[in-house]
Amino acid sequence: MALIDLAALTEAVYQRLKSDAAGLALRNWLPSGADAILLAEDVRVEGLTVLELPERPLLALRRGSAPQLDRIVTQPIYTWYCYDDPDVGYGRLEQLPYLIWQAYESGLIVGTVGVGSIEVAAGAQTRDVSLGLLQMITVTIGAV
Amino acid sequence: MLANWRRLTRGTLQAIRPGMEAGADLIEVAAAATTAYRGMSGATRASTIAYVADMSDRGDSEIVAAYNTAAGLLQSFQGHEGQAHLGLVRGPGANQAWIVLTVPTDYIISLETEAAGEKAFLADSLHGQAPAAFQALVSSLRGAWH
Repeated sequence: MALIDLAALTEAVYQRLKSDAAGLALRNWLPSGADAILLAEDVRVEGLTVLELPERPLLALRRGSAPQLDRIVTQPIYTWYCYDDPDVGYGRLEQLPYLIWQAYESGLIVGTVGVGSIEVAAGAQTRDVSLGLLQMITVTIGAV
Repeated sequence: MLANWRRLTRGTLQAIRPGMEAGADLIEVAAAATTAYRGMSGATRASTIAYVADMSDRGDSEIVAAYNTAAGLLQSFQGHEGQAHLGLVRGPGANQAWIVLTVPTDYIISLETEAAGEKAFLADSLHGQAPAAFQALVSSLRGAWH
């Protein structure tokens, strides 16, 4: 079992939606295209304000914990936070999990490490009070 | 044969229970030590709890104790409007046991999800400690069967 290059994996997970051909259908569907695909820190207090954010829907990627097993960092968990405007409702957000799944369907290879078991799951519809936007969370898990 | 199977699953659950409790302790320690949020009243950190629930014991006493801790700290706190919230877990089905990690307040969901998970820590702690918790469970099972 090889050690994951965490930085390379995070970049690969992000670029899959941001610029890879496999994420083209998703980018074409988003009104702001690649501009609406962000990192989590971009939507936080020190980042852009809601007015400065791209036209919604938009997505922000956050890497969660990457636990260690047998001295190998494995199974990092990545979460896409998806946002839309309250007056639009959840209709467009509901379409995002499938588009995200399509983008990752072909798998990822990072260096010489193949990333298997990429799963996309949808969380409940909710509201992000601090951003004033509707929110739905999708979870993408990369198991090596 | 069915009776033997039931005895086996019951015995396995009893055997892994100490390991699950050790795993829950690992998860709780990690979650309570998080630096993901700073906290205002101290209620979230003090009432963060991980416990084992099964058919015979769904952990009500643990969660009620954590709720009382949060309620005590928030009772006279003026910094925000969040309150303690008692959400009892319905409990697993037959031959199942869970490790529950939670905070008994009405704002924990916001803490976990707002601003693209800026202050999230529950899922991270659970996922991060899962391999160690699983090892504790396996050790418990080995100890019981040797």
